[in-house]
This record gives sequence, structure tokens and C-alpha cells, in this order.
Amino acid sequence: MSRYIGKRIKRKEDPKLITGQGRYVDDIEFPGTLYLAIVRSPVAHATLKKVDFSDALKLSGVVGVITGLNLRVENRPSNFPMAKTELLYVGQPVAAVVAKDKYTAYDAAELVQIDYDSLPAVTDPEEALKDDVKAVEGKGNVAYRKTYSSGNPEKAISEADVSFEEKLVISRVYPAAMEPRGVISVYQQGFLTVYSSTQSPHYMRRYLLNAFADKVKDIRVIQPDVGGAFGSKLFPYPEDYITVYASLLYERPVKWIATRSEDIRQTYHARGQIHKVKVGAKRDGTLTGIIDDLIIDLGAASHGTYLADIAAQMLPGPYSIRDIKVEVYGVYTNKTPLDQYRGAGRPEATFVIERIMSILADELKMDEIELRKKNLIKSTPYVNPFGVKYDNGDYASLLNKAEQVYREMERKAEKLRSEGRKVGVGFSFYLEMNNFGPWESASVRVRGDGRVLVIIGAAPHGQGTATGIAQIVADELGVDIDNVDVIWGDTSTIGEGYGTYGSRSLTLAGNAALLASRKVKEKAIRLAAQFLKSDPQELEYKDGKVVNPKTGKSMTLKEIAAKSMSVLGGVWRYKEEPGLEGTAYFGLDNLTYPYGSHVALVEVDDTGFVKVLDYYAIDDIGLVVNPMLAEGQVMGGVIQGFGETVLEEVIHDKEGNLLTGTFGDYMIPTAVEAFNIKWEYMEKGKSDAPLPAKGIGEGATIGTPPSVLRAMEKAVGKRLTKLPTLPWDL
Amino acid sequence: MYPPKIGYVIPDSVTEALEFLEKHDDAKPLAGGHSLIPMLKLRLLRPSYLVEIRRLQELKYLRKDGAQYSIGALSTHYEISKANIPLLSETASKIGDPQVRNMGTIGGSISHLDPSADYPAALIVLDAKVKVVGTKGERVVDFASFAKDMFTPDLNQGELVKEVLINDYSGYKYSYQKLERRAGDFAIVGVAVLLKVDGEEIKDARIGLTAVNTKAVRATEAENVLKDKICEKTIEVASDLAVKYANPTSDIRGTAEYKKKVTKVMTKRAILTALGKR
Ligand SMILES: Cc1cc2nc3c(=O)[nH]c(=O)nc-3n(C[C@H](O)[C@H](O)[C@H](O)COP(=O)(O)OP(=O)(O)OC[C@H]3O[C@@H](n4cnc5c(N)ncnc54)[C@H](O)[C@@H]3O)c2cc1C
Repeated sequence: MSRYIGKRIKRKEDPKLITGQGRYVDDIEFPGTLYLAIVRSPVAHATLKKVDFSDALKLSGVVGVITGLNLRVENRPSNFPMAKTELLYVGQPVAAVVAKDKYTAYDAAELVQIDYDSLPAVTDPEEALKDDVKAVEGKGNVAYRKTYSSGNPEKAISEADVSFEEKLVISRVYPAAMEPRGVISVYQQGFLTVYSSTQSPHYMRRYLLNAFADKVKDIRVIQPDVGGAFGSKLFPYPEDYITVYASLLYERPVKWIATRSEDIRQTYHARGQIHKVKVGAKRDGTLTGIIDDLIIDLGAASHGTYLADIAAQMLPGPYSIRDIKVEVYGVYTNKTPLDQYRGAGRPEATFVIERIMSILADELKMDEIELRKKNLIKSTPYVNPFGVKYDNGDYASLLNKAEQVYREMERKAEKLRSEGRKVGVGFSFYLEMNNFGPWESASVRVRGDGRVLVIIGAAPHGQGTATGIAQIVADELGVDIDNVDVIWGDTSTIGEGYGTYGSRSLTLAGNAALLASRKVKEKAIRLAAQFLKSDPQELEYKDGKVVNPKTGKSMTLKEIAAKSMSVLGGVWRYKEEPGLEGTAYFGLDNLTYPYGSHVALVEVDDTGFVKVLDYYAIDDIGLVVNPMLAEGQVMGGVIQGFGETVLEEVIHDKEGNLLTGTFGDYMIPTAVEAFNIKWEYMEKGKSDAPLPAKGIGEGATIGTPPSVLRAMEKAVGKRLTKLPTLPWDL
Repeated sequence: MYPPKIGYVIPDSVTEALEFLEKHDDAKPLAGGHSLIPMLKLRLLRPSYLVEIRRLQELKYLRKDGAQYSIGALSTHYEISKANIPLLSETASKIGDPQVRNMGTIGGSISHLDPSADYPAALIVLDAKVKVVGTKGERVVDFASFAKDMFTPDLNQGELVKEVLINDYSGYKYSYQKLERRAGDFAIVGVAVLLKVDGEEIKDARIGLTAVNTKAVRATEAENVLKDKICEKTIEVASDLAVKYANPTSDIRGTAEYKKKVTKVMTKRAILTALGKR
């Protein structure tokens, strides 16, 4: 019986954060810190002729201006982290002013003059594909091309009883973390300590060391409290490189903190996919063929291509289609580069396949749940047509459960419709792919006073992972959870690790912590054997104690720890190495595949506004360590997914100017737009890990958009194909 | 963003503020700061000085003298929302979010004159007057003429809005209906309706629209149609006619066509709500 796992334990992280005692990167101060302000490209595309910073240098308090810094970083343009010869998008760094305070830095930044010759901008990804006008450094616009193909979809579609074509558009969004990005780089005799609002300090260290290997001996990266990331703070940004460079140049601490409008311009945007699908099916509803031309709007760098790969590989979803082809085109445009955002490729795949299922049901005039049942994979494990191995689960019983909710909502909708209200019920079934690897690390250390310190390589930033891991460790060691502290986010406290992304931390770091705890238990037994003068074989670890069942003698973990520490200045006369520490690494040989369903009842009024009247989500994510944490992830994700469906869109005009450059124009949902969500979970599809969890960080942003859009579509009786769909589209 | 360098002046009285403002061409009074500070941060404005009037008690009052309300320029949206002033209090309650309502002032709002601000729709309907004060004395102007154009109040350098004057319309029925993309945002369209109803008949009807023109406008033809027996048909016709007064532009808050469509919807909602039929 576990005391903590499976329970709704309150977050250990919260008291600090909600009483204003969090310490974010901008709260960190060092004497002599210089402040950096970035001068950004005012235009989407131009030849850069000259950067004149002579006036900026005249301003009192300015230490220097950096221009033309170019570093080789994979999948980035040559003009990285600064434009040197070509301006590639609005907001791209062009110069950096370093000054004694941030006001002077920004005043000086305004005095830097950028002399350029405008070039035509490429903004529409379909236009980009034609390659008439080049977007990035004269290279061909098609930065990435790949074909995923299985069977003969052309034949399947030509022989189908019914077929249709549709263009599905998933707009660009801005991953709006509450805390904008920021970094402070502290120079000390050839070494750097970099404090960064990141979701992976270890990645950050590796990337920065690669770029600055000749200038620095080592870089320690520390992640202070981070106010959200949603995937956007995984990889280093131009400003990180520039700030680090400045601190090496001036041998001083240098700080850069994004303002919100800078964050919206340079934080990598997300989604940005167009899917042109051709679909064929039999009259009985069997899906027989899909051809999808997938165009991903990469912006002015090519590091986002993997998002198209994930979308393509997961396009078949939980359905048994075999004849399928996805042609992937990754195109450059003169926009902020694209990268991951909560779900990263799976929301796109799920949106497309679930749109296909719903539209097909309409075309066939068939019940859409029956249609899904007809096509649902019958058993797992299952290898999808592109070789992705879905691990396990009971898709059918989850679908049946969600169906009951759907029917109930339909009855409610029917009644409201009879009162003349425009309502609709939307349904989606999603299959997720997560626990992106390869592995994670954890150390468990029992202090002399019995307090347990857990250090994890994952780097949570709001998820509550520390609470979940404390539950695991407290249960395994049989100690009180209040005696377990979980820390992370410092490359010098744990050798190697990855971070928090891809719904991985509780499973990978949690299992590493579990294995490390087991090592501590074994060590506790060996030490207790010395102290109790027993044979270790006779001892067992139970409920926080090492017991000798024969003699009845026992020692608590705390007593063992205390005894190991007792003789200051004395000698160590035991035949066992002192110390109660364990470090473990854990990886899975396959990704994990949770699944779930979302059902929404929405009303569209005569202004085209969408109100969610009822919302239900069910997930099977394997073992649920803390239902309250999981439910929190679902709630946040649903509201975020709702925002993506009806509000959020990064908009550029034809010239590539950003029209949504502040929170006044880029609309994220507020508490007022939020709604109640009923959530349930099943624990049938357990992972292979010792602690058989999967992950829930991203499930809700995957399941929500197709269900809400379907509900809107049924409310207005008009086919909807775009995320977001705005009031004036309805 | 961060604002450029600015001088900051804290006067002890309105007179002192006025004298300073008159002498310094590009000095700006600072009230709640909820329009001014964003513009400074975006560096759209570069005043030499900010003259803090925010704490001048002389401009902070809300009185009813007989049948007239005198609303000091520094009354916050929150204070006005709680003052039970027909139509105006409801309008104030729909401005922005709680932070904005706690800081923003009516004097600041009408001096700024954002074409999407909420108050103007109500103020033109209430035949409000504005008392302006300068070193040479005071003058009173109709709000309708005070609001010359978007971001263009009838204020000379060195003048301040002292108060807003409106008659008491208790006994009238009213409603302010605002459509916003999401909570706390500016209006896509805002419609203020004030009706004098006698039995089954509407004796006086006033409809003010905001956010769909360069400044708030009265939909006079729609008003005239409404002055009749209350019936669904005239409400429908009036709502249709209101659209004639909307000349919106397409932007992030909707296409021009959409804004016209919802002008009708919101006008109808406002009339029906005022009449208690919704
Ligand atoms: C997030 C946000 C949302 C908002 N949403 C809305 C909304 O939904 N509806 C709406 O109507 N408004 C909205 N606003 C604007 C808000 O109502 C402002 O507070 C108001 O427009 C200005 O009032 P203020 O007291 O803050 O003025 P300030 O910002 O201090 O000043 C505004 C201008 O008026 C001048 N000024 C101020 N007082 C006087 C005076 N007495 N005499 C002469 N000149 C003066 C200043 O010099 C400045 O030019 C919003 C603002 C924000 C930041």
C-alpha cells in the first residue's frame, strides 16, 4: 500500500510561488552587472548595409555595442545570432547595446541606425513553396522534404466509395509563458555561470559550450524559478548567445531580460502547418486511403522540421488505416523561426485525423462515434504504417466511456436546439506520443539528520513534478513526504540530464528517482548490518526501517543516517563505505503512447462568439502518481487548446510586419473565458517502467482543438477547417 | 519596453499644475496612467515632463447637485461604476479589467479619446458637458464638441479637464452593451442606449455607438424610429438603421463587415436589455 502515490497531494512548490518568494532570473542581481538591450530588425527582409552605432556610444553609461556576431549553430542561418548581411524577419537581433543600466541600454538601442535595402518578403508558406522569391540568404525555400508512405493510397482513394479533399490550416501561435525569457551570464576567470529561464540547463550548457569552446573552460547553467515555457524555452536563443558573448567580451556579469513585445517577436512561434488532404473510404465507414501534403512554415531557420515529422508519423492516429502517404514540405519564410509548443506535432496530427473522421462522418451521413469504432485499432501493441509502435492500452473501452458522455451531451444539445439556440457537441479521440528520451537522471541523498534530498536532471517549471517525485521517493523509502526535498536545475549538482519537455519528467526522472531510492535502501541495509552486527542477508527494508525479523531489532533510515555521522573526529571502524546516496539513470526503449478523448458542448451566439457549456476529458496515462497534478495539467491544457481554437493567432501582413506584437493584439484566454472541465482517468495502458506512468503534460492541448472546433461546426452547420476560427469566420 | 527619460513633477495644487503645464509645451499630465504609460513604454510619446495630477484631491470628487452630477476628472472607473449614475456607472463597470478600473480616470479617458473607449458612447447619449480649466479660467463645452476627433480633445496646452457634468436620468431605461474579443479588451463595438418609456410608448430614445467610427456617434435615424410604440419590428428596424452610423475598419478585432453586423446585434441587445426584455 502506498501512502502517497495515487493521492491528491498538494503541490510542495506552491507556497513559495504564491507568496512572492519565487526567484526568477530577473530577481538575480550581481554587483557590477551590465545590461544588454537588443536592436532588432524593423523589417521582414532586407540586405543589411550598415549598422551605425556612433551616436549610441556617445550616451553616458554605454559600455559598448556589439554588431555582426555570427556563430555556427546547426539548422540556423548564417546570420545568427545576429544579422550581419541580411535581415530575415521582424524582431531579428541586429545589434546589442551593453550599458550600466537597462534604461540607458534601451535609450542607446534607439540611437543605433540600421541602413538596409528592402527585399521582397516571403510570408505565405504556399507562395514560399513556389520558390519564386527567396526568403533566406538566397537559398531555395524548400528547406526540408520528406515522404512518408505506406501501401498504395492513390489506388485506395480512386477505388473508394466516397472521397473528399480539404485544406486544413493550423495557424502560428506564440507560446505565451507568463515569464518572458531572460538570461544573466556571470564571468569569473575563464568560467561562466549562466542563469537562464530555461527548461533544460544541461542542453543550454552543451549548446553554449559548442559555440564558445575556444573562449571558456566550462559553463555552469542554473535554472532559477521559471514562469512557464510550454516547450519554448528548450533551445538557446540568439539573445542567450549574445549575452554570453558579451559577458566573455567584457568579463563582467551581463543581463538580458525580454520585454513582452520582444518575447512575442523572438520566442519561437509554433504550429504553422497546412495540410492538404485527400481521403477515401468505403460506404460502411472504413477509411481506406489518405494523402496529405503537409507544408510547415519554418520561418527563417530550419530547426522546426521535426515537428512536421512527428505530425506525419502520428497522422494515422489510433485508426487502422494502412494506405497512407504524407508529403512533407518544410519552407522558409521571413518570419520568426518555428519550434515546439505543448504537444509539438501531435496536436497537428490529431487535428488533421480527427477533422478527417468528423468530415467523413458528415459525408457518409454516419454517426461519428460508430465511424471511429469501425476504424479503431483492435489490439496493441500495434505498429502503425510509418513504423511507430503504439505500446498498449484499451482504446475501445475508453472510447465507449467517452461515447456515453457524448450521447448525454447530444441529448442536452437537442433540447437547447429546440429552444432555438445554436449549440453543437464535438468529439475527439487522441493518441499521444511522449516521454521523449533518451533518459533522465536522479540522485537521492539521505542527510545526517535524515532529511532526504532528491536531485533530478529534469527541469520542471510549473508542472509540480517535484511533488510527484517526492511522493515516489517518500513511498519507496517509507518516509514522510515533508522530509523529502526535490531540487533540480543546476548543471553542477547533477552530472548529466536532459530537462523537462515532451511529457517526460515524472516518468523518466521519477523512475530514476525510484531506482536511486532503491540503491539507497540497499545501502541502508548494508550499513545497518554493520551497526546491528547482523548479516545483511537477514535484514529487510520495510516502512522506513531496516529490520531483522529474527531478532526484532530495527533501525530507522534516520537512525542509520545519524549513526553514520556520529563521531566527529573519530575513526570509521565499520566494514562498509559510509554515505547514504544513490544515483540512477533511467530510459525506456520505446516512447509511450497515452490516449484519451475530449467531448465539448458549445454554443455560438449571433455575434459568432463561442461559449463552452460543458466539457469532458478522459485520459489513460498509465499509473497516475498524483491525480490533482494530472488534472491541473488537463485544465490548463484545455484552456490553452481553447485559446488556440477561437482566439490565438500570430498574424503578419503581406510585408511580413507583425500585427500581433503585444498582449493587446495577441489574445490569450483569461479566467473569464475559462470554463469547468470534468476529468476522469483510466489506468489500463501502463508503461514498462518500474513505476508504470506515462505522461499528461501535453494531452489536453492535443485533444481540445478538434473537439471544440467540431462542436462549433455542428452549432453553425458550416464546415470549419482552420485553427483558430474567429467570430467573423462563423 | 521601457520609457525614455522623463522629468517628473509633483505639483501641490491644480493651479501649480496648470502653471507648469502652460510653461512647458510638451509636458503631459499624468492621471491613472493607463493610456499614457503604455504609450511611453512603446515610445510613441516623449514628453519632457510628466505632471502628476493623480493625487490632487481638488479633482477627486463625485457629487450630485440637484439634478446634476459633477464628476471630478480624477474619479476612477471603479468609483464611477459604484456611483449609481444611470448608464454611466454600467458603462464604467465594463471598461477593461479590475486593474484598469482601479487606476484609470474619466478625465484621462476623455482626454485621451481612444476611438474604442467606452465612456464616449454613454457621454454623447447623456448630453454630458465637460468643464475645462486653464490658467485663464474655466469653460464648459458639450462633450459632443469636446471630442473633436480620435485622440483629439478640445484642450489647449496647459488646460486640464476639471469635471464631467451630466444630468440625472433616473426614470430612464438604459443599457450599455459591449462586445469584446476577450475579457478586459477594448470594444469591438459598444452601444449605449437611453430610453424614456411611457407605458407602451418610447418617448425619447438615444443610441450612442463607440469603436466603429473615428469617434463615438449618435444613431439619430435609429433613435427616431424607436420613438413609437414598443414593438419588435421597430426595434429590428432601429437596429438595422444603427449600422448606417458604423464606419469601422478591419483590424485584429474583426473585419469591417463583421463589425457592422455586430453593431446591429449589439444595438438590439442594448435596446432589449434597456426595456427589460432580455
Ligand atoms: C489593459 C488595458 C485595457 C483597457 N481597456 C479599456 C476598455 O475596455 N475601455 C476603455 O474605455 N478604456 C480602456 N483602457 C484605457 C483606460 O480606460 C485608461 O485608463 C483611460 O483611457 C485613461 O485614463 P487615465 O486616468 O489612466 O489617464 P492617463 O493614462 O494618465 O492619461 C491619458 C491622457 O490624458 C491626459 N490626461 C489625463 N488626465 C487629464 C486631465 N484631467 N486633463 C487633461 N488631460 C488629462 C494625459 O496627459 C494623457 O495624454 C484600457 C487600458 C489598459 C491598459
